[in-house]
Amino acid sequence: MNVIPDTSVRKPTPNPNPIPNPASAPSLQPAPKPAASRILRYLAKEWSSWLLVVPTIIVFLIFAWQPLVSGIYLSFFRTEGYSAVEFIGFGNYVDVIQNSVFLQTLKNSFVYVFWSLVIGFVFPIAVAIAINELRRGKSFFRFAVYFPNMVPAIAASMVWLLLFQPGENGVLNMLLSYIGIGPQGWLQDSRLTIPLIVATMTLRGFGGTVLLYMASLQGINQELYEAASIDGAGVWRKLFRITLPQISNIVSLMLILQISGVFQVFGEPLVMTEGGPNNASMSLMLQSYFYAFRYFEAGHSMALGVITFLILMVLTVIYFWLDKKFDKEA
Amino acid sequence: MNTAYWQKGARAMLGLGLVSLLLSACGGNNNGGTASPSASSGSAASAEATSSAGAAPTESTEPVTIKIGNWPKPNDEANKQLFEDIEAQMKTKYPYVTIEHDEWGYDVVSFLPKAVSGQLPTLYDSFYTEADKIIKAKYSADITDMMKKYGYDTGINPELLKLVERDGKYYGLPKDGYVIGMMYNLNVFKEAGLVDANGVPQMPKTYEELAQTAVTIKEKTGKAGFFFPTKTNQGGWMFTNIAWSYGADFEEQDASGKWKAIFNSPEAVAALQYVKDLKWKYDVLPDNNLVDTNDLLMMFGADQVGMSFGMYEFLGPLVLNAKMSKDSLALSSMPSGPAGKAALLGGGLYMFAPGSTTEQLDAAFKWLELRGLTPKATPEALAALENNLKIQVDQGYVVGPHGLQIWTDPERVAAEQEIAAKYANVNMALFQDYMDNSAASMRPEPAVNAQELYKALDTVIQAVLTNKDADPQALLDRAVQEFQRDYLDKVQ
Repeated sequence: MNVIPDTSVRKPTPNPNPIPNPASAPSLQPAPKPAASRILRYLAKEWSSWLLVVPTIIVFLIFAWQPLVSGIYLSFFRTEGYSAVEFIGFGNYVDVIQNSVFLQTLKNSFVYVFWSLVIGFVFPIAVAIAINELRRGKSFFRFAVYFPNMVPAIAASMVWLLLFQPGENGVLNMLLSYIGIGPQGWLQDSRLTIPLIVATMTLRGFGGTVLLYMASLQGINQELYEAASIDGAGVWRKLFRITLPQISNIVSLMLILQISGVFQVFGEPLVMTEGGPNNASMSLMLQSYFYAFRYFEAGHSMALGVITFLILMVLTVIYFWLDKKFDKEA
Repeated sequence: MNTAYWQKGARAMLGLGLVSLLLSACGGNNNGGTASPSASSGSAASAEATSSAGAAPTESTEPVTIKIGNWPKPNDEANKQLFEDIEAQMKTKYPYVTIEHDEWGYDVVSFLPKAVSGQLPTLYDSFYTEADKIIKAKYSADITDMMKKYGYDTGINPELLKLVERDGKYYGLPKDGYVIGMMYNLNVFKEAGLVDANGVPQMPKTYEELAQTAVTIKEKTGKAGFFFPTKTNQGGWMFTNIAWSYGADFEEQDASGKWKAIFNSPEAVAALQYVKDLKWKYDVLPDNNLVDTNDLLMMFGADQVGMSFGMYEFLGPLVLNAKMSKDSLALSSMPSGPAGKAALLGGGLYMFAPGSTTEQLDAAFKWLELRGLTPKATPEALAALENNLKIQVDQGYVVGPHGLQIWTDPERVAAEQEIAAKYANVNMALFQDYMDNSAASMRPEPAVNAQELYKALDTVIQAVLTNKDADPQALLDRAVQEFQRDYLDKVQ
């Protein structure tokens, strides 16, 4: 908070421009001075700009960085509730990794990501392009695909639970019975659990992604299509040579966001299956949640959180490395 | 000059504005301790009407403030009135005590934020099943001195005291006790023709009979005969009952003090096979196999299930939330397995906020005395009990049957039963077996990492109920091996 400096440092620099211009600040600096006094001078000059940033920084400090740092800190301690009791180095990490369900939850988290890419990645792109091509009713469809996003996640999961009710009285099973298919176990079939959870997540959440793709599609220069038409390019050719390359930036951004988002899935399995049956839908974050809220073992929970964080870091780095490599080759 | 002044003034205003905005935002955050709906049964509330007070020994009368949890919500007028009456008595009798209200009642999800932020009420409710992790996390105060001072250490059933004792110190106060029994939905039983001339349902005496009764219900009504939970650690919690009565046990300590997981014995496998048969041989369970007590209350309340394991404290929510009639419910003791009967102990606790001062704890115990939760049959305690029952009768709860007796003083037990009999509002024949035969088969929770054990059993139970070809022996072998490695090997 101490950004309001001693006014004695301020020098009455005649500045005809009433708006402080940060870009001009370095050029006004005379010969190099000791760092401390340079910072003071800089603050003295720019304190009002800094003041504007302060609220954001404080909010970030309190609500984002502080929990992050104290989480990492706690993960190295034996904890009682949320208080650190004794430094145990990587003890929590060893416990968490050696736990019998760890490998399965790790694998499950990747399976979630896999299915979300299979089910949910191409789908919004296709829908966005389709809506973009519409001549009429564009705004209706834009609203219609976004609509499910407004339903709270938990409520949506509860409704899906009713639809997926196993046995003859489940809604989906009744529909299936009309076309002569016997009742399915749905979420209780351990092979189907994750794909079904991902499908419900996709149906609920793809609208937001569609809007982003549509915004990007609107930005494509129409002259490209006209030129392509003159050169005799068909629909598919235009799609693969113009549309997709033009939105490839946002596609790759969504890819990384989706991977990191789905990797941390926990609300949907918590509501729909509690990680069951037989841990078939348990994810890393759900396990972390159980450590913290069901067993009050903050240390274990934080350690698992940090492990998840590191895995995502590695994935992201690999992704950017590949991206760069392909860019160079292209 | 003028411009410079204006500019300076504007900056200062801007700065002040931002700072005050920020401060008010931070301040607003402090009101976070909102009340959440109580997870405890509606029967928790009790009340008191005092007669003349016992003479309190001379004590420090420094001003002290305590916060009482589970304060009745505004719509629960009868109980609210009673709490306010006790507050008024506190004021006259102990004027140095200030009482604050907190409507928060124990809830698994909101407990942790409340505890971590130091917002726990001085006196709060909890359950036996939660005690272990709360004590481990040091979210309950050591109340040993107060327990001794007010005579609870000798006045309460020692079996119950064991649950809140660690290394000779007490961290909680048992307020009621129940053992698990069988719970019957009489509407479904009538539909299935399983009720005798006196309205008493056919209560199965063995697990084999339980399965057969459930089959009859399913055949006659098409509804699920029996409910068995499988998630939220409740599957394992309930499975212990079956396993014990099949002769199995879960953990044993050898001479060197090491713990060993032993729930892959032939007896345990037979018990798990029984659960599996309920699904695949008898087909009497609900279609959905990922369920817990919340689902039970909904299905039972909607007359979709005939029987379930249950206990006295389930009756309150069934009447209050599921709108069941108190006359449609019955309880019996557990069926026998090859090794006899076994029933797990359950119930409610009072716990005290960590960091409470001696004076605060003392004031909280004085509050409990006025509420009637004392080991001796004082006129105060009995009057409190009577008032509480009056309210329960008014609100349509089941009154008359009792859970486990927590007090050791026979005089108090007898006096309490006399009052209960006076206010009984149900056919006592429906609960007689539960009251007579349950306590004898009482078992405490497994000693080490009970919740983690239940979780391990949950997954095993889910496996046998969702996969027809699952092998109980293989599943239990694996669970034993993992539970041993993940938890028991780490016990010091």
